[in-house]
Amino acid sequence: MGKRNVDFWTTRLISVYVVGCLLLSLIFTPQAYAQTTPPVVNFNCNAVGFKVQIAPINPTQIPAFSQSAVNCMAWQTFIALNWKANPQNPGQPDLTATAEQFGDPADSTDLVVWESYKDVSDVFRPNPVKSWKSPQLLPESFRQFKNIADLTPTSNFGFRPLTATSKFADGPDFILDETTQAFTNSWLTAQNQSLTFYEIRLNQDEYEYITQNNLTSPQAQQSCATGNAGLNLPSGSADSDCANNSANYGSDGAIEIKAAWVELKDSSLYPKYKISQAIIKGPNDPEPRQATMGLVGLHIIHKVTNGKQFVWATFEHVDNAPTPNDINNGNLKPSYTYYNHACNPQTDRYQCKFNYQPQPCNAGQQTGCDPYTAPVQVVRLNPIPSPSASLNRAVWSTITQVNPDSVFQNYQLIDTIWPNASSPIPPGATTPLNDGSPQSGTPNNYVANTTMETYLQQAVIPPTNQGGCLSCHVLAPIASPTKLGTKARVLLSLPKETLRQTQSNAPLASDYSFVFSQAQAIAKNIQPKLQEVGSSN
Amino acid sequence: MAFLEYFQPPANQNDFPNDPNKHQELLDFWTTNVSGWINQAIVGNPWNVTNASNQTFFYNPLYTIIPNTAAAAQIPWNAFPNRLSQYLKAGANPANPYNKSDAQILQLADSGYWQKPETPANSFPKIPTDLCPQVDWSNYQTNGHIYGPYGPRGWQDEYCEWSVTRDSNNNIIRIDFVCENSEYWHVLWKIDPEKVRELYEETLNYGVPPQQQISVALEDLQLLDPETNQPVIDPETKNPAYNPLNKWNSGPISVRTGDSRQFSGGAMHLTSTPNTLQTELGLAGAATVQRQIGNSDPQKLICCSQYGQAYRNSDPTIGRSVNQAVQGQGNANIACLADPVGLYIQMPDFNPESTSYSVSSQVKLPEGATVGDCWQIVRGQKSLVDSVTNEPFPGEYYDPVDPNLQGVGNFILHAVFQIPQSWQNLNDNKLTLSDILIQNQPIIWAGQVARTFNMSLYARPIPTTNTPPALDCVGTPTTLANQPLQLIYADLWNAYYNTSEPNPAGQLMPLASNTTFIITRVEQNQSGIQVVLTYAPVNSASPPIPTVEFSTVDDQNPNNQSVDSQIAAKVLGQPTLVSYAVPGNSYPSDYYALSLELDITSEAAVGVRGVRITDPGQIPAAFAPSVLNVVAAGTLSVNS
Repeated sequence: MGKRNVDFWTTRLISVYVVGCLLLSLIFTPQAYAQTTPPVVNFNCNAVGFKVQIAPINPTQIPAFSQSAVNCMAWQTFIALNWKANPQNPGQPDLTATAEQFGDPADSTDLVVWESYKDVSDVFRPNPVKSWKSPQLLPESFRQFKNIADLTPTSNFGFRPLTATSKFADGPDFILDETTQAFTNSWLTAQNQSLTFYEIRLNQDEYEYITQNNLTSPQAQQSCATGNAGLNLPSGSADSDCANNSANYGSDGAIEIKAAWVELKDSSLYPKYKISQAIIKGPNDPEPRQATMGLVGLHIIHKVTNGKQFVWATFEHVDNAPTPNDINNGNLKPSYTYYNHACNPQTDRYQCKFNYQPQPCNAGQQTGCDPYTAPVQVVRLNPIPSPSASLNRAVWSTITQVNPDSVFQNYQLIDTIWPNASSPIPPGATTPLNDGSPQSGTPNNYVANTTMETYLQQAVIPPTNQGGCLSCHVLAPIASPTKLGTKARVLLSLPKETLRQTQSNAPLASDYSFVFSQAQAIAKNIQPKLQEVGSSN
Repeated sequence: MAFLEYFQPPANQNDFPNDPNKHQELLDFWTTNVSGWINQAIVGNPWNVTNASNQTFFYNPLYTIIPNTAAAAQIPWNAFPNRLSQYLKAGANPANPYNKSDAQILQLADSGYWQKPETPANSFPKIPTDLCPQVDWSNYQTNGHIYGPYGPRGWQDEYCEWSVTRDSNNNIIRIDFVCENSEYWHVLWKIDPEKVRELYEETLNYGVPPQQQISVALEDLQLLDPETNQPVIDPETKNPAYNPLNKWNSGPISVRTGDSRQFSGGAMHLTSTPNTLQTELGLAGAATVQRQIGNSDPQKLICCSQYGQAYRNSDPTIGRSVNQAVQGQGNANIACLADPVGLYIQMPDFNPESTSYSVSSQVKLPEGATVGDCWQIVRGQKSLVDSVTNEPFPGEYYDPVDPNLQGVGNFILHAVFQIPQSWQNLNDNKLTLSDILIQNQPIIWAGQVARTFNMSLYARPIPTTNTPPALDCVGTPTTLANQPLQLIYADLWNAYYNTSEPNPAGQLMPLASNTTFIITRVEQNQSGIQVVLTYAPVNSASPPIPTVEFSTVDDQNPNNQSVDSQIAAKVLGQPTLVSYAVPGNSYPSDYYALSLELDITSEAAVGVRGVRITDPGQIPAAFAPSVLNVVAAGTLSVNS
């Protein structure tokens, strides 16, 4: 989708682009999409000239500063990023795919665009940094397992490992923990007793910015953050490197994805989910194993020219969890992935308490710890606001008309947080960053994904004392070259006095992205002997 | 495609449904004034700044063909004052030294005091005046000023103000949210004071139990001379003038318990000095100018273009959105605010599946009741059809029942949040708003509700083949000129200026700050008219006696530079130093006032014209448009 990937489709686009699309072409990335009249969602986006289309068109600007407009942008991004990926060109859509194929269960083994983005563990790693097109491999920690040779790549982009331990090394201090929810040191178990797994992926624009500026080391991050331009992830145009030289990292702007997956033990559920194959290794699994995973949650954060504080959109599967109103009114679906209608307080591990946060074992504790297999009774504390809910219905209607089997009619936008006062990060900026006056459809910006912020749905986070994504991400630091840095999940548990001390020695900021602290994890954990295993070559 | 014939009142409100003559009179009056304010916005400020004048990408719909494809664009912002959080709340960025808790901020928003006792020490503290490129706290104790805007609810500065009624147990029983501009009520008063009285009484008693109802007297609404305590006669109408901060439209608290003779307070229209419609238009006009520093960062824009107040939800958002509407997406546009020009409250989300509101489980509800029943639209409408496109104005309201009200904008002018009597009947009249919860928290502050809805206005861009130039930021010219500000009848000025506004922080704030830019009307062949003209002089230390000239009629040509010899203005004495917030401004500043005596010949053309003030030896500068309206002889006396 970037300008650098000019191929014959791009040429074709220019020739066939209809006059009516001229306006949109300035909002959207120039696209090489074959379907010249894509299905259009019948919804007033409250933005002159902007409509959601079932097409791989990735918006590169906030189309208007209203909730409906940004929600439409979020759905358009979701469609573009869940388009079938180009098997030869990771991060790019397959432009031969049609709207009818969007979410078609028959294509369920194909990865979508965001799944072909770079896993964050392949970016923040010792030299040599992996090339954009290199396949994803299994982590070093898998070398210990006997069945390693039996595992096969899960797609033509390599392996998809989702583990309970760090990809870099075992130990309690890892950050890339794929069953631990952000900021809680806890996990989420579904009603089918499966753990929820997480992954973080970066698009090529962000990858290029990080690798071209050598930001995989803490020292380079510090130099960048104090450089003439500061650490400013690209927004798709007029970008620069750390030294403030003009640079082109692509035209999409930086995108980070955080996805939540759960194993689907019941194959009859496959047609309702975006599914993918993954190599999972939960704490109770003796060895890694391949499993069919269903997508239950998806965060998409996107930096654009008029949204320097990113646009934060979150989607979920419609069967995740009910709201208290749904429960009180008896307005329940037949079943939920994370809620049990028949939960019995007498027998349930957590007495059916809503959103009970399981407690891990303390050091040396052998008994009494909460088990990984005990389901959590999840409810959505913040209802999906009307602008999102109405847009969801409109998008589903169009998707269903195009392909009544599309799995994406089972995904819903929860809400979008966006900066009403977008402003770039100045050089040398420290945490907390300016939050850009975040707006959302949810009062107090309590925007949460029940699969990823299960236990923090109405959290007010110091020091901003606000809810929502930016309240925490303003604290994202660069990796510390000299000492253990400020880890976001630790911040929440710090007493106030400690927090003030942290603020007085505020670390340099990393443009709202916590992934940069992964460089520290490498510095601390990675050993020179590291070699990947399970190469797909 | 057509020119606009009349500017409609906000939300197309018709307050004279049974009197078409008065409605027409109001339309004429309103249209003249809105057009005048737009012309002022087009002229901008050619007197004492650079790069902020001749703003021709702002258009006047009376004289611009509007294609029926020119859809209006909604510009929304949250109703809760963002500056309270920015300057006073813990966690702001840049950090402030006050670190007030959220509860204290809510208390401050509702009362003007962050804690009891209600003394200036517990009210608004000092904040910086250095706001660009971002707020700088380093010298606020020496260079700062007390947090404003001042006035009895001046801090509610997002074009939404509210007044809270509590019962004897201090639980909230009613909240009045208003966004009606002050100008409209001044105009209405000039046409029919009794109508204003009637509307006050109807609106503030809407849904109120008999024992809490108020009786509004005309005298309650009249401007009193601060010395004699007698009503001040408006020379234009020959009737008592209007007091915008009257007993029933002042402050954030409505007293409706105890002795009914002690009842007071209420909210009928906006009173915070920057919350005026004339300013909203001026801001939009200034925001049309494209800037070389870039146009997407609202804080950069507001610093560069010097419009509005930084860190509000409203002004930076309005400015950036209008700016981007002109910039367009490929093709540039000219822009104006869409008719009906106004500010509008949007509905909170009360849809059963999505609302963050709930009712305490102990409450017995009538069949089919929802929490949305507590939100009652008293003035304005849920939606409006745009007369240009014949489609509903777009927005983010999704009615739970009506399929025609999906994705539309609301045009609410006055909403009341209170428990319906049908609920009270089932609950022994014991319910209060504490029985309503937002995100599971009982309502104890009106600000909790304000945070759940937006305000909005509409811009209407029209494509143009011209390209707006990108200008440098507003600067200081090498040659300054006197900047005319307000022209008001002397009797009115004297009363307004010498009356002080109450405000929690105890700041000196003349009631003149709550006057308006409604164009002063005089008649042909009228002489000896005593008026006051305020201005920002070139020589602010010792301004000389200037000459004052009026332009020929400027309706269609706000940059008109011709002097009208049919209007003579005699300056009476030396300029007098005055300190007040020019309507639309947040803070008082020092200006000068000229006492003038006007003589209008019988030959003077009917219509609106501008004024300029020239010091001896100075080259005459541009006229400030739309300050004086000459009407036909006998017109005003008919009204009296």
